[in-house]
Amino acid sequence: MLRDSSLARLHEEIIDFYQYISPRPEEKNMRETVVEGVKEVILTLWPHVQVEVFGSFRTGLYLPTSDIDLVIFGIDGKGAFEDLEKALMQHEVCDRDNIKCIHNAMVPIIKLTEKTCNYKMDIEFNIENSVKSADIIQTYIRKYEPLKYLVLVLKQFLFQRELNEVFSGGVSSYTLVMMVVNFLQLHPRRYTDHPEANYGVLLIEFFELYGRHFNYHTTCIRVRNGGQYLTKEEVRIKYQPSFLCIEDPALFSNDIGKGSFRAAFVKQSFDYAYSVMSKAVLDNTPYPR
Amino acid sequence: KECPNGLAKDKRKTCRRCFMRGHVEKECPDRWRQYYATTKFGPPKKPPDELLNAQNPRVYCYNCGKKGHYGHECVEARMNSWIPPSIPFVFRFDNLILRNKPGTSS
Ligand SMILES: [Zn+2]
Ligand SMILES: [Zn+2]
Repeated sequence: MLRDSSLARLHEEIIDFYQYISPRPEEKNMRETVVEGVKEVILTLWPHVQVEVFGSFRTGLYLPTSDIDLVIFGIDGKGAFEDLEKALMQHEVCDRDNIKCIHNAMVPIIKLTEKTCNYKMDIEFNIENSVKSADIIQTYIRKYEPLKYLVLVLKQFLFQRELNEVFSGGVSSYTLVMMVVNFLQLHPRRYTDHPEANYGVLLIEFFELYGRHFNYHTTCIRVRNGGQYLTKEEVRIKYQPSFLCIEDPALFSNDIGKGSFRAAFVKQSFDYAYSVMSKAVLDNTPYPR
Repeated sequence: KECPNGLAKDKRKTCRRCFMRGHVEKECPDRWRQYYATTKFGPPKKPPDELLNAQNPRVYCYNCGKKGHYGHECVEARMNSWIPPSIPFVFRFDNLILRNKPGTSS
């Protein structure tokens, strides 16, 4: 019996999905052990450097398939990539086939899949904002109750469509969080942070906004100070805005959407999700007449 | 008259529920949006009056990027001209109305 209840059911399913997919303590311990192992290799190679976890493993908003992100401070990138690559293979963190340096990315990184649990790992150098961005995300998670639920569902959605990595033109987790934050900040209806707000309606409205209505040609996103939209002309004074232009709350001169060269596909997939979901819920909602 | 499949063949048709163009009442987004304050199984719950029409004081337009009006109120050209805007507020909470005045709409 779905009558009169498809949206309540969708709301419950979102919460169930969050609880199901959220890391269990064992999962978290495994990841921590892997991080410690890699940290040890790095510190053996360069005893004076500082290693930090950032990204979703730091914010806690990660899927079992999510990468572990590390940043190393205090060593110059030149030659360091090759040295670290060698050291990681020597200490059998990963095989030769499972590690590569990506120099042509926006931010050069080492990508590897470690041996023990097959976790994917990204290692970068001296990117100050990585840690700061994770801390900003955590502040927003505390501030906007529906955020973590919507983000995990959307992360899984993008992951299934291979649109979850900037490296391949998709949308990073950071960008996705900022899209959801701004959606909640600027929603015309003031009910989004009410304890009885339906997350199913919010999810469909997220797809509706970014799949159908948001004008990517004219409008940019700013999340700091409570959130607002900016016109592309306003932004152009400072930098050339990208298609999916979002001001980085950790570094205002940075457009975090600039690497997402497949953002138009992301929009399209949101539009498709909107059609499918709104039709599915309407087919199961009683029609008075 | 409405298409029996619930499909708006005529995109100029105006919805009798939300008064927007491009869809018929049966496929009106207002029908799922009316559940925005409902998390338990059952008919859509109407929020208390003080929250019912409460609007976000941060008024920005997703269509032109400017301040002062919401995106659905914008008069500028849309990014996709074939997608008409939709109203983020709810017009009708079905069962409540039906319970009071069967067969009529407000
Ligand atoms: Zn309508
Ligand atoms: Zn406008």
